[in-house]
Amino acid sequence: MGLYLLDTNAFTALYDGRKAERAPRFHTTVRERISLDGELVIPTFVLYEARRGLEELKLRSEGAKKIARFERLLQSATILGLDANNGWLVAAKLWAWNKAKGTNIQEGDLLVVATASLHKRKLVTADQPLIEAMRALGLDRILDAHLLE
Amino acid sequence: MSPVSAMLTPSDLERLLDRLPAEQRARFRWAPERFRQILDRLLIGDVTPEVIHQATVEFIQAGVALDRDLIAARPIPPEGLAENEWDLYQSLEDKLMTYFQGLPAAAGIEWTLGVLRKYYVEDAHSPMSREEAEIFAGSTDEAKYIKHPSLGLVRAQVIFFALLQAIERGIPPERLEDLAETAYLEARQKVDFMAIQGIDFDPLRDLTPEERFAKVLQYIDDLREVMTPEAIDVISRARVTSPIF
Repeated sequence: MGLYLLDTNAFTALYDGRKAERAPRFHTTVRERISLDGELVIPTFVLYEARRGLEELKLRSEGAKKIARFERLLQSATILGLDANNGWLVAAKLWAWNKAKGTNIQEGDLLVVATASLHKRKLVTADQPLIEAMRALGLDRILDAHLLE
Repeated sequence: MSPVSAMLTPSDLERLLDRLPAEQRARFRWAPERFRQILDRLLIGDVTPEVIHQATVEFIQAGVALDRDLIAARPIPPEGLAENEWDLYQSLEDKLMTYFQGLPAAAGIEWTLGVLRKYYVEDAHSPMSREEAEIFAGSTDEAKYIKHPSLGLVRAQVIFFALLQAIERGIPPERLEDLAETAYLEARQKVDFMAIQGIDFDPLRDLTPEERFAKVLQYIDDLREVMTPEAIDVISRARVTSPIF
């Protein structure tokens, strides 16, 4: 059974050269995490966000080289979603809990956290507001928090 | 495509025609040049989806006409077709992989060749392949073929033939990378479509977990090499940012 799940920032850190220069430690950590799992695992929601960007790149007539390489990476990833094992119920409960506690997890992040919880994986993230919100909700057990450095 | 022309480049075709008696050879003299003209359109100017589609349609039309006559002339015994297809496939793979060796586009070529191999050689008796063969065996109506679900794969294959033509002319592989990646994208689209129908042609599924992960690391490095700050910004701005309450 795998250990980790990447949020959008962590996934982007893999191929964003600027981010790798500005935050080399985080880039190295993300690579280490996927190596430990022996696969690249992302939530459906991260795939959705990446695909939105990719579709926009296509509309801007970016060359086939960039589009194809992005497509290959997305197709090689293992995608985890919420459709099985009452995953959407997990997300709904998390939403209600988040509201009751007054923490402020964004809609997309909430679905990513719910996916990590459902699949019992640690969410690899350097998103500080999300890290604080997850800690406030007592979700440390599924958190693999890092600083963007 | 059809059993005979599926894996034939114009040069392969010339070699095949050389095996025919002179009288039959004269009958097919038109074919290699016609295929070359069609493929040239993918090597000159903008290769838009419309150009690829038109070239593919004309390639199919020429292929149907050739197959009808060639099968009638029986230059290859029917029992030798499968073996012959395998040899031709191997030749296609060897030439492309050797030429693009060390370039990231080789990853897309390798994947697309894996799909073509599964479709034409290993799964040659699948319902879709059988249906395709029947179209050719019983009809000269290329319009039926142009609507066939495998057309995306044929587009990829026609692009590969254009690449082989470029290789024969000594065009450097770096200048052909975009075209090679276009073939990958065409095949990818079709494989995704077929997966929705429950037919899995993705060659990555045949790899061991270790082999597959090695590909993942390679794909990451390949992507990082081409992602400009502008492209990264487009991806970042596509994120969902709506608040929850």
